[in-house]
Amino acid sequence: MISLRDVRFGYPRSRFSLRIPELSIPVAARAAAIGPSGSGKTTLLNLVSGIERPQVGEVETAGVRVDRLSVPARRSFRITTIGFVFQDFLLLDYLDVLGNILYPYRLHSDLKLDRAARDRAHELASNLGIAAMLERPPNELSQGERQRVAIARALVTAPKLVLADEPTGNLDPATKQQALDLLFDQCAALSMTLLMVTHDHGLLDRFDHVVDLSTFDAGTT
Amino acid sequence: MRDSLYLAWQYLRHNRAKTLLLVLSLAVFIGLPLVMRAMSEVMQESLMARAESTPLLLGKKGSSLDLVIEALYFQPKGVEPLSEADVTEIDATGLARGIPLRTGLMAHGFPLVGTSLDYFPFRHLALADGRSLTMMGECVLGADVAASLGLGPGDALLTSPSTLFDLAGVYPLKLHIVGTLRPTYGPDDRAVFVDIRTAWVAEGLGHGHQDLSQAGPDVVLARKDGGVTANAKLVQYNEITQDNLDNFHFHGEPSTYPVSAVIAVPDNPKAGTLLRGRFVDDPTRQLLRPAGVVEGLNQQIFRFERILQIVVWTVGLATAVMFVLVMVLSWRLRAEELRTMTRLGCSRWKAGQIMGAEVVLMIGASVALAALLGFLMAQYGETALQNLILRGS
Amino acid sequence: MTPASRSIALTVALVLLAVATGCSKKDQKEQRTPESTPDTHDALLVYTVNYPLAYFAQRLAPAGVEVVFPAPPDIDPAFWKPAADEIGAYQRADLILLNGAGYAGWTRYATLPRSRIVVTAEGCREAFIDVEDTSKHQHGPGGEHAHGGTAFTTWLDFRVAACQAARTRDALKKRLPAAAGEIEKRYEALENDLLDLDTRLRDVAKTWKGQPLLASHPVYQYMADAYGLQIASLHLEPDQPLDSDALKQLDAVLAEHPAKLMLWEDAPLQSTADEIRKRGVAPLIFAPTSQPPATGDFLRAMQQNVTRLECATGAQECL
Repeated sequence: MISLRDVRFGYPRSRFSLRIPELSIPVAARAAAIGPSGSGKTTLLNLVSGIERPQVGEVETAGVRVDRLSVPARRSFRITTIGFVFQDFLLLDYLDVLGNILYPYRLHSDLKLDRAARDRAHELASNLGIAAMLERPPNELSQGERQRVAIARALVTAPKLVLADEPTGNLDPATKQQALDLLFDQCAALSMTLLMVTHDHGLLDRFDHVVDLSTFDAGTT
Repeated sequence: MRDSLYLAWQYLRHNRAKTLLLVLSLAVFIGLPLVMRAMSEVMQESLMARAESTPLLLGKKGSSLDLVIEALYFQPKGVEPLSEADVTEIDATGLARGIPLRTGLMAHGFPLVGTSLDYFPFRHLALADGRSLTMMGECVLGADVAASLGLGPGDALLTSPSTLFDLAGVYPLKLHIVGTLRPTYGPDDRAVFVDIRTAWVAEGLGHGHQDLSQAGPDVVLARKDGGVTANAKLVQYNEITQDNLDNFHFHGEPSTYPVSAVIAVPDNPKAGTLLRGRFVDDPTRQLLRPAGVVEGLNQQIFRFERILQIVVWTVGLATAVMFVLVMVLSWRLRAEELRTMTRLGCSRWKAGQIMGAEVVLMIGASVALAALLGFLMAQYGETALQNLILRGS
Repeated sequence: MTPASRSIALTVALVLLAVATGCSKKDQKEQRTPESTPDTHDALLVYTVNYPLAYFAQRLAPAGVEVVFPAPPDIDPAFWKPAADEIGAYQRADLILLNGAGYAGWTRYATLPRSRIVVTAEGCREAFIDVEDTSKHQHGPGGEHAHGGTAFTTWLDFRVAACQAARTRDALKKRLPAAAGEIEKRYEALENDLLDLDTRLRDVAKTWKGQPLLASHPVYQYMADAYGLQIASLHLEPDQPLDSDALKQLDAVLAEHPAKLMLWEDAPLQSTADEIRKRGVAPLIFAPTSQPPATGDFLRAMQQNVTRLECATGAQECL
């Protein structure tokens, strides 16, 4: 699913740089990315999703060389192929839960908000236990419920890859486990590959693959 | 586009207070200059139409504007009156016919206008219900008066007393409503029309009382040399009916009875010019063209409007700048939302479209609100403006 | 329809409604009401307050003019009180001929279109004659005043009648300028007829040389004043017998005013005629003709009046 080769990346006007000689994550894997702060975990997600392009090297995601795509092509690829779960959930208070779940469909013309999409949203909400909250605004939900909405939003477009950037960082231990269970179950049910950034080493035994970015040449010079 | 509008609408709806404030501000910015212009044009046209339909106006020398306002719009301005003899004089010239107007009295808050029957065809007033005046003591209501008071033919209304606490003052006269007029969307709709002699009775120049030759000793103080002196027990009539008509009479010489103004309707333009020539050097009277006076008023209004427009545009510009500032600040506060959109795969163009849709919706709502304001002005503004400006002048 | 779509549709509808209503208000304002003028009719419509004026108008008006004198035949038109619809009929006339001198008291309180009124006797005399027996009275601070009292049978002074006819002529010419010539010719003929009557009455006055006359009713003031006739008036009705009060009044007047002739508006009862003959007074009909006569017309009636007076006074030899 994910393959990086001889990748070098640096932000313009920044001293940060990242070198990944080789990285491979198979399809349907549950992968975790760990490393100290500033090691490039989020940068890895950005490279895989096409948000950033490496100066050197190859990045292949879901069989597509994203490093070769134009900016519009990368956006299109991203929204149709990848689902995101953010640490702070980044839900919109002016949309209700259903509106938040279907949000990606509003952002790109390659996604059609049709009956099938709405059915998928309702099914996900049901599977995640938030079906009764679809007309409520996110600010009325608990942290755990908001996390589930964020997960539903990531999965509603039926992506091949889910990228999660510390999705359980703000949750209490019990809710954290619950959220992970849900994420793993849904990804498994829909045959999605999961790459999750986490600081919590206690969760690593639940993943098939662990990518330790401290082993790569990364940081600020 | 539909998705952009949907997201924009949801955002605006969620932030109601801010949205409403911005929409109102924009509506005022968009609508106010247009409404002002429209109001000014409507009022000028309306004032001018009324004035142009009145060829010549005779009054006592003094403020020509006050004379025009009192005679054309029935707003009491305390103009010094002419007399009935002046009406006869106009008729006698053979150049024009005179239509007398007696104003200054009120009935239930509406101006009481004493005039002659010629006034009605002159102003193209047609009956909606009932019949025209046929005798003293009757009245015909303008459309707004009838609607406002809920009165019609067969009902009655009282004139307002000219003095409340003066025991020797004039008491209300009960008028019999015989007709109501169709709306003309002008000052005639808000007037109560009576025969000018009825107006004279209402202001105390004429009265009716029981027949003194039949009166008993409790009423009669003395009979001497064919004359009768009565006391305060004498029954004075407060309405004119078929039965007591003969008991109504006037004191003094009728030619001296007051007339607030005379509308002179010349037979032809040349007659009008000749008639004006006769009053050019008149020391106590003025014969003027109401259109000329209103033109002067309109020029004042136009000057005032120009100044107001500058002020409004300046304020409007400030409003627009404030609007832009609020939008920019709002987008900056939503920077994280924009980043999320981009991360999810939204193009900058699409993100701009979503933000832009908010502006489009707010401007659309402002335009609609401005249109509603314009509609209300079109419905009610003309009369309200006339009352506001004429009462205040 | 989603809530968002509903809201957008409502807003658009509101804007369209605002525009449409703004237009329709303007349309309403442009639909002016029809002018409230006299009834549109082909003939010029002339209304009068008494028969003499109707006669003058009929004599002077060309074809196509309708002259109406609507007072009921059994009522003295001077005291007739028309109802509202009858006043309304006057209002619809093109020309309203009033007598003047307070004739037809109802015109004091009726609302008539000023521009279509002609007061025919106005300016035909220096002053109208006051009726003396009116009650003066006083109440409140206003001072003494009387309720009017002016003699109004002005046409019995035939020069005034000619003047009234002239006013009628002027009014008709103004409204029918195309027929001015014809109207003028007709006036000349009428004027001749009236002035002939005037001349004959002057001859009667010369013959009678100021001898007293009685009148059953005070309606001959202008005739007396114009032709120098000494007429004392009573208040007697031709169709009512003389009671004792009336006889006393008659005797009292005769004592001061020993008349040999008594003018009556209409033929008195035989008993009345007998009573006054007993007193050496001969009854003489001189009908004011404020209503149309049973036969003939105004001129014929006046000619007969004058002939009777001529015969009675000896101004003319009569059989």
